Amino acid sequence: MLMRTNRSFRNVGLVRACLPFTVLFMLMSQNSPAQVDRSKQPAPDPAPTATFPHYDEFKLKNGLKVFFVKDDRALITFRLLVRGGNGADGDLPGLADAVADQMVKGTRSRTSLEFAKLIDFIGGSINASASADAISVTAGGLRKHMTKILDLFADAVKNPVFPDDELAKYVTEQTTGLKSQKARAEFLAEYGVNKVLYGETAYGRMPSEEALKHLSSGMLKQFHSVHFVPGNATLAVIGSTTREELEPMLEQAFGDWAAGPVPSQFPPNFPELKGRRIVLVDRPTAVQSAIRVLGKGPEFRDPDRPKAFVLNSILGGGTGLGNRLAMNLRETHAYTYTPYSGFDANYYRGHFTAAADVRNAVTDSALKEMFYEIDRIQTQRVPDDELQRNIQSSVGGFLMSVADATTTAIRVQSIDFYGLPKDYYEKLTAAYGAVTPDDVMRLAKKYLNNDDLTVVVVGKASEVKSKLDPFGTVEVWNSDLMPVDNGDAMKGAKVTMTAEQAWEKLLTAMGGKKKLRSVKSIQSTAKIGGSVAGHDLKGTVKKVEMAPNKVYSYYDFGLFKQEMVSDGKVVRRSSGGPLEELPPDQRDKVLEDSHILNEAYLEELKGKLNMVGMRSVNGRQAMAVEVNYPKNGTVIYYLNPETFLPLAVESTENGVVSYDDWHDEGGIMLAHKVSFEPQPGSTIMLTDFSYVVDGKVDEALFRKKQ
Amino acid sequence: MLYPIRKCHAIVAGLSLATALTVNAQTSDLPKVNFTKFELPNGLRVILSVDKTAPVVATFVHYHVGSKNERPDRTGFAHFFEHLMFEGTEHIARHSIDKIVQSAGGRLNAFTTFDETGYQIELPSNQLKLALWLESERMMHARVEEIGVETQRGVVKEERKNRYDNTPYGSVLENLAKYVAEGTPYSWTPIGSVQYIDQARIEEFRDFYKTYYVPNNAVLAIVGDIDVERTKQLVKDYFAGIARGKDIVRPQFQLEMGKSEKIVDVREDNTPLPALLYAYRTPKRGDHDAYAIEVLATILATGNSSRLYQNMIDQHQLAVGVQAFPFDLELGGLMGLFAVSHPTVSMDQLGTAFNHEIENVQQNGVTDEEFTKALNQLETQFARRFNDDLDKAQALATYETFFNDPGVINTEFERYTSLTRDDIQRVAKKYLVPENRVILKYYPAAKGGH
Repeated sequence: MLMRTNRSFRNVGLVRACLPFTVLFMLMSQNSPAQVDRSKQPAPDPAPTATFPHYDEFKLKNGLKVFFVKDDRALITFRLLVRGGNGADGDLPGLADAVADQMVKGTRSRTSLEFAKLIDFIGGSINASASADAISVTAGGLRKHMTKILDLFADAVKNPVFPDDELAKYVTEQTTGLKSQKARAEFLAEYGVNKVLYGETAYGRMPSEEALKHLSSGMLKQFHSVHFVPGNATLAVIGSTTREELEPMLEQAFGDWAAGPVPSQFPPNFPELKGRRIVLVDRPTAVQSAIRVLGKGPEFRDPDRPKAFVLNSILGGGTGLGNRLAMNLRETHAYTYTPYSGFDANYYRGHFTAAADVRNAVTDSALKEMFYEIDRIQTQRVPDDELQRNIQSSVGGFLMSVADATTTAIRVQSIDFYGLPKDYYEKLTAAYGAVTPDDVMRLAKKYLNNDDLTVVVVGKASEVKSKLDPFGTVEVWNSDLMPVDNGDAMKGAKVTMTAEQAWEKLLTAMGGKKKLRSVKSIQSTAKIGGSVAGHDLKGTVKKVEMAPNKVYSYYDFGLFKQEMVSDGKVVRRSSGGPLEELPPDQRDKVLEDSHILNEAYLEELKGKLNMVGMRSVNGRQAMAVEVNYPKNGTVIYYLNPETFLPLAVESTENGVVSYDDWHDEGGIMLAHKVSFEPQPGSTIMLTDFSYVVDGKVDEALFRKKQ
Repeated sequence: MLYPIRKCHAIVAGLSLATALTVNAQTSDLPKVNFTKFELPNGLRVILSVDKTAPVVATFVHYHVGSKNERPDRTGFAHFFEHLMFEGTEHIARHSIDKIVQSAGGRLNAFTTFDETGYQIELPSNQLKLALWLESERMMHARVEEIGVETQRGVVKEERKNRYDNTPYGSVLENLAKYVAEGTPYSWTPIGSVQYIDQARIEEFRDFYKTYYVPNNAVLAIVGDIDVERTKQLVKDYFAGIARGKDIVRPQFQLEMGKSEKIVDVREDNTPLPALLYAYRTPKRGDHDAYAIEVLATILATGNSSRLYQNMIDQHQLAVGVQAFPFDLELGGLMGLFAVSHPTVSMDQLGTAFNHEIENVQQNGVTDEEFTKALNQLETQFARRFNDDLDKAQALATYETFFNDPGVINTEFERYTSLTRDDIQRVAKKYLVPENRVILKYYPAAKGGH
C-alpha cells in the first residue's frame, strides 16, 4: 500500500512545477490512513542528490577575491581570510595570535573603546583569530546595519594601529594564562604533538613567556603590513543582499586598500615521521595520562581524503557512540569516557591522531588496546554493514551541514585557500558512498603503519614511564617540552643518594629528627600580600598547631575571612559564615595533612618515599623527592641541593607552595617567606612571620564550634 | 549556564530553546516562516514547514508535560520519562533508537523543562518515514518495563551528580525554584529528587505514560525538504491509529507576588568564588510585561556597555562576571541578577551595586540610546535564532503548545517594538521591589591550610 503511494509521490515530486499534477495529487492525498507495517524499520526513499549551495565569485579592483553566499535570515556576515597564521610567526611563537587579538583594539580614527561601543550599539560583533595557516577576521549583525558593520570591519582590517597600552594588557593576560595553561594536560598534549610532528618550525613551537616579552607594536604592524594585502586574502560575505548591492559597497569600503606584493610561501622543514617514537611529557602530579597516538594522513588536496574520513569514522570518529575505539576502550574496558580519533591537515601536511585520557594505572593497557584497534583495521576487512553504517553517517553529517550559510562560506574559502577542486563538496557524498572495504584496508596500511606510529603521553613520569618502556625507548620531556636528561633523570641518574638519605638530610637541616619530634606546639602570625585576579590583596594570618595534629588557622583578607579548626578528630571550617563540619573523606585528608612537622612522622603517617631526581623549580635546580601518602596522594619536596631545606612543595591539593628565608626558631628551622597560587594567575605571599615554638597555647581554640 | 534543566543529550539545545522563546520574532526585516497546520481526529496537532535549503528534515515532538505536572512526592518523573523513551518500543529493540538514527546519517536528542518534554530527530530527507516511525512507535507503545526503569535509574543519578552536584553554582536552579515558587509545582526542578524514582512502582510509570504521552497532549512539527501533501499522508499513516487519551487536567496556579523578601545563605564546597543572586517574581511567558522585563534585563547586563557591566566590572571591579536573566515559564516567571565576586569583595558591596542600578532605573528610567541598543541586540538574537530546520520546528511546536498559534513565530518581535521607554521604568518599579525578591548568597568552603 504504502509502496504504491510512495512511488506516485515520487513521480509528482519530479514534476511539481506542473500545476495540474499537483492538484490531482492533493486530491489523492485526502485518502484515509494507509496500513503501515510497524514491525519493520521503513526503507528510505532514494538518496537525495546533495547539491552544494550556489555562490557568487568576483574580484574587486585591487585584486581582493570575494565569495558571496546568500542567506535568507536578516543578517550580514563578513569574513576575511588572510594567508599567514602561527606558521608565519618566525622566531616569535604567538605573534599571529597577538595580531589577531589586537586588530579590533584601535584604528587610526577610533580608540578601542569607541570601536567596542559602536559595534555594541547596533547589536553586532567583530573578532579575529589565528590558526596555524591563516588569520580570519569576522564581523556580523543585522542586515539593516550592513553599512555600519562594513565600515567598522574594513577599518579594523585596513587601519589597525596596535596601541602600546592595549598590547601591554594583552601580554600581561597571556603571560598569566600561559602559566596555568602549562599545568593543563590538554595544552601540553596539543603542543607536545605539534613539536613531535613539526619539530622546530613555527608550526611546532609552544608559546612562551619569553616570546610574549619580546612582542612589540612594531612587530605586529610589520606582520600586518606584510600579510594583510588584498592579493593574500579572500573575503566571504554571507547575508540577505544581492551581488548588485554588495559589489559597489565593497569597492567603496576596500577601494583604498592598496594592492601590495603577496608574501612568498616557503614549505617548512618538517621532520619525517619514521620509526616508533615515544615521548612522555612529565606532569608530576597527574592522576591521568593523556595518550595521543600519531600517524600520517592525507593532505588537503589528496583525493583519498574523503575515504580517509570514512576510515576514521569506523575507527574513532563519527558520532562517537559506535566506533571501535569507543566500543573497546569505553564499553568493554571502561578505561576512558570519550576516546576519539581524526585525520587533520595544515597547508603542507596531514596527520592522524587517536586520543584517550586514562588513569595512570591503565596507561599501558589502554595504549595496547589503541594499537590493537589500529592494527585490526589494516589486517582484517571491515564488515559490509559496519562500513555502510559509517558511510550513511558521514553522508548525513555532511547533508545536515549544508544549510548553514556560514559553514558554506568557510568551505568556499577553503576550496580557494587549499587549492581543492571546485566541485569538491558537490562530489563529497558520492566519494563517501564509493568507499570499499579494500579502500579502508589500503589507506589504514598507508597511514597507520605500526612501525611508524608515534606516541605522546602527558602524565606522571615516576609512575607511568616503566609502563611505557615495553613499547620502545621513552624520551622524557618537562613542561617546557624540553628533554630531561635523556629520560634517566627519572631514575635519579644525577642523584647518587637514595630518597631515604635525602630525607635524613632534610630532617637534619631542619633541626634533627629527634628535636623535631619533641616539638609540642608552633604558633605563628604573618602578613598576607599578593594579588588575586588583578586585585591587590592585604591581610593577616594566624596559625596555631599542637601535636599531634590539632590546628587552628585564621586567614583575614579584610572583607573576606577563612577559618579552620581541627581538634585532631573533627575538622570545621568557614568562609565568612559559621563553622561547618567537613565530611569524613575531606576530614581525613586534612587530619593527615596537618600533622605538626609531618616530615618527622613519615612512619606514623605511612608516607612512602621515592627519589625523583634533579628538577628545576622556580628557576632553580632542586632535588625532587616524592612522598606518597595514603589519603593525600603524592607530595613532592623540591630540596635545595646545598642546604637540603625545601625550596618548594607540590601537591594536588595546594599546587606548588614555595618556601624561603629559613631561620632558627627555638632549635628548629622555619620558613619566613611562603608563597603560592590559590588559582591560576593569582599569587599570595606570606611575609613578616613571627613564631613561638612550645609556648603557652590557648587550647580552647581547637574546640571552637562557631 | 544557569538553568540546566535536563537530559544527558540535551542541555545546550534546550537552553537555546528557552532563550529563543523568551526572545522572539518580528516585523520588517525578519523573514516570515510559512507553515501549514492541521489536526488528526485523535487530537494530534501537526505543523509542516518547507525549507529546501538542504536535503534534510527535522521532526520535533512536543509533549505538554513537564515537572509541574508531577506529584510533590514523585518529582523527577517527567525527566525520567524522557530517558525511558530511549529504551525501546514494541517494535524497536532496547537501546537501538540511537543506533538506528545514527546509522541513517542522522542525530537525535531530547529535553525536559518545568512545562514540556521535547524530542528531536534530524535526518536526510529521504529518511522522513524513519523519523515518523520512531516517534509514532514511542507515542503508541513505548516499553515501560522494570529492566528499562532500572537501567535509567542509574543513568539519571549519574546525570544528577555530574550536572548539578559537582558543578559550581549547580544548585542555583533548585534554590531558585524552592524559594521563588514556594508552595507551587514550580518549587521543584525537572531533575527532581532521586528517591522518588526509586520509590515509584512500575504501574505508576505506566499510568504517567498513559496519561501524558497521548496524541491529544502533543504537537508534531516537521520542517525541511518535504512535500507537504505527501507528508500529511505519511503523518496520517503513522499517527492516526494511535488512540486518543483522556483530557489532561492541567495544574492552575500563580506565583505569589510581593509577599516578603527572603535571604538564603548557601555554602558549598565547589563554589569557587562568592556569588550573589537576586531573583524577582515576574509575569508568565507571553505577558506584555514579560517583554518589557526582558528589555530591562538587556539594558542592565547585555554587552560590555551595559549598566551592571560598567559599574561592577569595568569601573569598580567588584565582580568577575555579571548577568541578568529573565526566565519565563507557562504560569509565571522570574528575573535574576547574578554576580560572581572578586575574592576581596563583600556580598554587601555586590548588593549595593545591584540596588543602585535598579533604583537608578526606577527613579530616572532609561535613555533613548540604551533603549534602541537593547532592541538592536534583541533583534539580532531574533535574526540568529534559526540555524537549521530543527530550530524552526521547535519554535513552531512550542508556540502552538503555549500560545495555541504557531503564527506567533512571525509576530512576536512586534511585542518588543511596541514597548516604550516608560514601560521599562514602569516594570522596574512594579516588579523589582524588595518584597518581591529572593536573595541567594553563595559562599565557598575554605581550602585546607598551608
